[in-house]
Amino acid sequence: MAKEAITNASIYYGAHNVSSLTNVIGGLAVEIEVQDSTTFGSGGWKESLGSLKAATWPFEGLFDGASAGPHPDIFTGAVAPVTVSKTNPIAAGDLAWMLNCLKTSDADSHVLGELHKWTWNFVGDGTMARGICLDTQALSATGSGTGQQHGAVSSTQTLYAALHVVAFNGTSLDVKIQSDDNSGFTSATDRITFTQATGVTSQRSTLAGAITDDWWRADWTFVGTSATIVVFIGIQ
Amino acid sequence: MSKTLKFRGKTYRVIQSGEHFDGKHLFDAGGNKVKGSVIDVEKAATYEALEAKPKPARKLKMKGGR
Repeated sequence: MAKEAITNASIYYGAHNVSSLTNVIGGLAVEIEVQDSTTFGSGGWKESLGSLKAATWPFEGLFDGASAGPHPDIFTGAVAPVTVSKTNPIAAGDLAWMLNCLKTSDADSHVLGELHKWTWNFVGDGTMARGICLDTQALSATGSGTGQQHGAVSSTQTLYAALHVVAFNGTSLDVKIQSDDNSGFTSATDRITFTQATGVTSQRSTLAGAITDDWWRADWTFVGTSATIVVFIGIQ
Repeated sequence: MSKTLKFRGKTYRVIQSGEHFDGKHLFDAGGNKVKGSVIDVEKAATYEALEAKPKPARKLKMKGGR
């Protein structure tokens, strides 16, 4: 793998595409709590066992005070999926990192002559999953996306899926994650059905293995004029 | 769900409770590798539904029609 400069990224936080408001994605830190498991016969050295895993994710950017923007979420304490990819515009198949997050701080700075900036800190709620963008669509009708061959899910693995509905002008939107053993999806099996969306929203859902299919796609039933969705999956 | 399923002329082994699928191969409860094509329970249900679906009636070809 070659060295690379960070020049672009796509950041989805809940129902918001905050890519054009963000300029720093802090290190996604995954830490394991260490427990001392030293016993007699440990040879004079301490022994350790990893216990609970935790993820934190800080971001920085420029303030947008729109009432429906991403800042008021700090007052609700709600958990929402945060998904980051190094590409922008994002496309199906692009590598992504997904974490269900609780925003623990949202601080903005007011300095004369400087840009109005903010810093966020997220704490993970559950597993951090590495995956791909399964689909990104500007919808106007019911349909299915193109399949991506992302692999089977073993008995010890879980399928993680995140849906970001970032624009919505309609009545209802039902999104499903389907799998199959062939790219034509001739025997598609529904794996994850997200709760019906009736506005901009976001959801994260999981499904435990085993799943022998290795092709994945998004499928949607849309009643309305237009909507923009971004769907991610990860197997871990 | 039965252990095996026939779909479009091919026989599949359905993963049973207590068996381990590593993403490629299936190992039975005793840890022995199971040979053949493997499918999970949900996929087997999809295959069963597709097999049970009545096939569209064949259209009769007209010969020498006007």
